[in-house]
Parts: sequence; C-alpha cells; structure tokens
Amino acid sequence: MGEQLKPAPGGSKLAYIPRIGWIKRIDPWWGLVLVVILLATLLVTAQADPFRNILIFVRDGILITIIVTISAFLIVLVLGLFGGLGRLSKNPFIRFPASLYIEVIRGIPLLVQLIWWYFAFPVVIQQVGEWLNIAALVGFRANPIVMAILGLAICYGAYMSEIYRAGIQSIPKGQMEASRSLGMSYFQSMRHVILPQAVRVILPPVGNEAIALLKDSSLVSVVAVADLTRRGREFMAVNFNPIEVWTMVALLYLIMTLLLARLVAWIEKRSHFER
Amino acid sequence: MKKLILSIFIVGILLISVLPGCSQETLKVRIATDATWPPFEYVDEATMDIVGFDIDLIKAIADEAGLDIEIINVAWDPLLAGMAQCQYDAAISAMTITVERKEVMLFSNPYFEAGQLVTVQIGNNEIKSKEDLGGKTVGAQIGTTGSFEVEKIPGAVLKTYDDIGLAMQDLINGQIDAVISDNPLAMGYTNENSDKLKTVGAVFTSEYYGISVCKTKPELLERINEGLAKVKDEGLIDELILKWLAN
Repeated sequence: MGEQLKPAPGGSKLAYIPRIGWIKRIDPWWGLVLVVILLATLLVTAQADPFRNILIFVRDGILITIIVTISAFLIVLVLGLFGGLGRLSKNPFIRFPASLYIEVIRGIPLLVQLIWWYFAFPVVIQQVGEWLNIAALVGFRANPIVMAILGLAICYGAYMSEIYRAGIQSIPKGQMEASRSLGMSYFQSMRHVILPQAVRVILPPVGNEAIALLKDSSLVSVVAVADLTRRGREFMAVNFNPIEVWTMVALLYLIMTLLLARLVAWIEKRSHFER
Repeated sequence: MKKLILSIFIVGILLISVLPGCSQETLKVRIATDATWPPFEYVDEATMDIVGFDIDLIKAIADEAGLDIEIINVAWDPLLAGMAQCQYDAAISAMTITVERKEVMLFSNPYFEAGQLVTVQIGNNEIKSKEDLGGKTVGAQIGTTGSFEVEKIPGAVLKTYDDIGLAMQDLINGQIDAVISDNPLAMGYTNENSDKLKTVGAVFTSEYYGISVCKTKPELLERINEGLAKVKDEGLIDELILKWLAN
C-alpha cells in the first residue's frame, strides 16, 4: 500500500502520548488467532489419523489459495483505483465505460463469472482466432489459475471501484479546489492531497474486501483449480469422512482470515495519525 | 382470535407430520444419484426429469421389491460421503464396486460391467493409448475410478472436475490432453461429438457397477438384490443396454 501508511517522522511520538503500557498495545484479538491455531494443532497431533493426513493432503491447496488471493487482490487494488477514478471522471467517454463495467460485473454472480472465464472465454478467443485467421489465438489455452485470478480480480475490482469512489467523495470538495488553485494538476492533487486522505477512510472496507476475497477464492475449485476447498473435496471423495475434512478445512480458512484481519487492524492502527 | 389461529396452525402442522406415519405399506427409500453421467443418469433436456439406464433399472427393481423410491440428485463427492454417513438409504449412480467403498457401504450384486477408456481430441495422433499419457494433463471426475487410474499413471497430471461433462468440455476446449472415464460414457460423448472427440486404445480395466446401500440397512440390500435378480431373469438388463447404450 505504499508510503502514505507509514507514520510521518516524529508522528509516532505524538501518537503514543500519553504513553500506555505495552500490554495494552497488544491487540486482544490475537488471543482468538492463538486459540484457533492451538485447536488445529491439537487435532493434528492428537488425532493424527484423519487430521494430519488431511493437512498433508491439502497443503499445496493452501498455497494455491494464498497465491490466488494475493495476486487477485493486488490486481483489485489497481483496477479499483482506475474504476473509481473513472466513475468520477467528468469525461463521459471515461465515466460511461467505468460505470458500465461496475454495473455489469456487480450484477453477475462470482461463480457464474468464474465458470464463464474458464469454460467460455477460451472458446471465444479460439473462435475469434479462427475468424481472423490468427494461429496463436486458435491455439489459445487457458491456464486455470490465471483464469481464476482474472475472474476474481475483475469481479472484486468492480466492488473496489465503488469503495474508492466513496473514499474520494468523502474528502471535501474544497481540498481539490485548494490544491488546484495552488497550481497542482488534477493528478498531482489526487496523488498528494486527496488519495492519501481517502486511503485512510477506505481502509476498513478494503480490509473487509480482502477477507471476503480470501473466502470467495474457494469458488475457484469449480474451475479445476486445486485450491484448499478442492483438495478437501478430493480427500472426502476417497476417505468418506466429511466431518473431519470440513472441520479441518474450515479451521484452515479461519486461521488465514483471522491472520488477515489482524494484518488489516495493524495497518489501520499505523495509519491512524493526524485525523 | 390470534391464539385460536395459532393453535389451529399448530394442530395442522402436527397432523401433517403424523399423517405419513399412518400409511406405510411399502418401504420408502431415498435413492441418491449424480445425474451428470449420461446415459446412466442425466437430466433430460425436454422434460427436466432424471432419466437413464440406472433410473429405469431402479424403478423396475422398486416395482419388484415393493419399494417407494424417491430419487435425489446430488453431486458425486457428497454422494459418496453421504452414503458412507447413511444420509441416503441407497444410491444408484453407475458406481463401481471397489474395496475401499465396500468398507463404508454395502453393495448389491453387480448389474453392469464397465471399464476405463481414454478420450482425446479428434486431431490428436500422439496419444494412442493409456501408455502415452506420461507427462500429460489428464482430466477425470472427482472421486471416480477414472481419477484413481490417472493417479496410477507415472508422470500424468490429474485434474479433477465436479462432473464429467466439465472435463469433456475442457478437453474439447483443448485445455487438457485426455479424459479417463467409464467406457459407456466415453462412447456416449464421442458419439455426440464425433467431430471433436475420439476414444483411443482399449478398455483397460474391468469393473462392476453396483447399487450401494447404507451400511445399517442390510434388509434393504436383500430386497434390492431380490428385485435385481428378478429383473435380470426377465432380461431387463439387455433391454436397457439396447435402449440406452445401443450406439
């Protein structure tokens, strides 16, 4: 998220006045993270038969889930910024496509979008290739993970655009007018005045989106991406033990989302200055 | 007044919940199937009913054995887990009788012999049999014997799909190299898409389909086996093969 979030030099001193004890500075919700991790560890060590085997079986799925979530989220942050700025643009040739993108994507279920990107999009490309006689397009092969990341990013980008827009609109108009009258260009005012303030406003919903994205990444299991959910299903189909498999998978997701929530809380705290 | 309406409502609900208990002549059986496996069980495009070889068979068996069946459409992996946990009384879903499955559920006598077969794109001249699949990406339905066979091929990368139709679609799109599935199914798909798909090599396993029954219901298994024996004697299996698998 870059430098805006770091406290200004000297700012940290201000923030911690009056000084509070170190124990109060520790986020109490870490306790919950600890409890869930302990619970998972307990299951894996005490009941090694299904639980340890499940963990070993799904571990590459955990990695895929993390990779898909992080890459999709990075794209979402950029896409959302452009979508949000586009929607606020005075130029109708920018505003209309941005609004169309948001309205259309927001109206289609994520699962349908993911299936479309993986099963329909490659055929579209191949047929366009046949029509234009371009061999490279006819031979187009979709990578399931890339298509999954693309599908998630495009869907969440639409939601994120609205969050960015709300954040930018929450900054009083006078700020933009003042920066413009100081001789800054539109983009300079955005970059140095509006966005640094907007980012603080939108941090909680952005963190919320990150957690939702991590959970919704389980939907990519339908497009043959071997993520945590799919690995769980594969394990269940052979070992017939849904209770153990889905308890373990749920705990693993919970550990990831709780850690992510702590990260978001920490970033929020660090960027809390001067407001 | 409100109280009166409420009490009538409650009495009504109680009556409704009691009524089916009064008239239980025939045994009510909940049968699970994964209706994505043509021609054994699939949803008919025109009527939206679940139809197929297995459905005709189980209906004939139910008539013989005096069972009142309700067919429930579930996905394949929850079906397997549900049978192991007795969430359904029985399942007929082109299910191969395997040692692992036998540990957690009961199986009727076999009613059909099938085997695994490789399907590839029509233009593929590189893959001629199962032996050529090393280093290739091979699709199969999640939790099926086809997926277990892919895992046995050294170097082959398994991709599992929710249903076999998605695997075949991905093969047609050219995103995987081959699909391994039961032979009647592979034949069905290659006949339907003869301009896009073909089967290669010979059927390389021999396995038997059985009706699975929840482990706590051996008496139901007995009735199903009796019914199955009767319809077999009547020559129904051959009739069904002619009806559903003729081409």
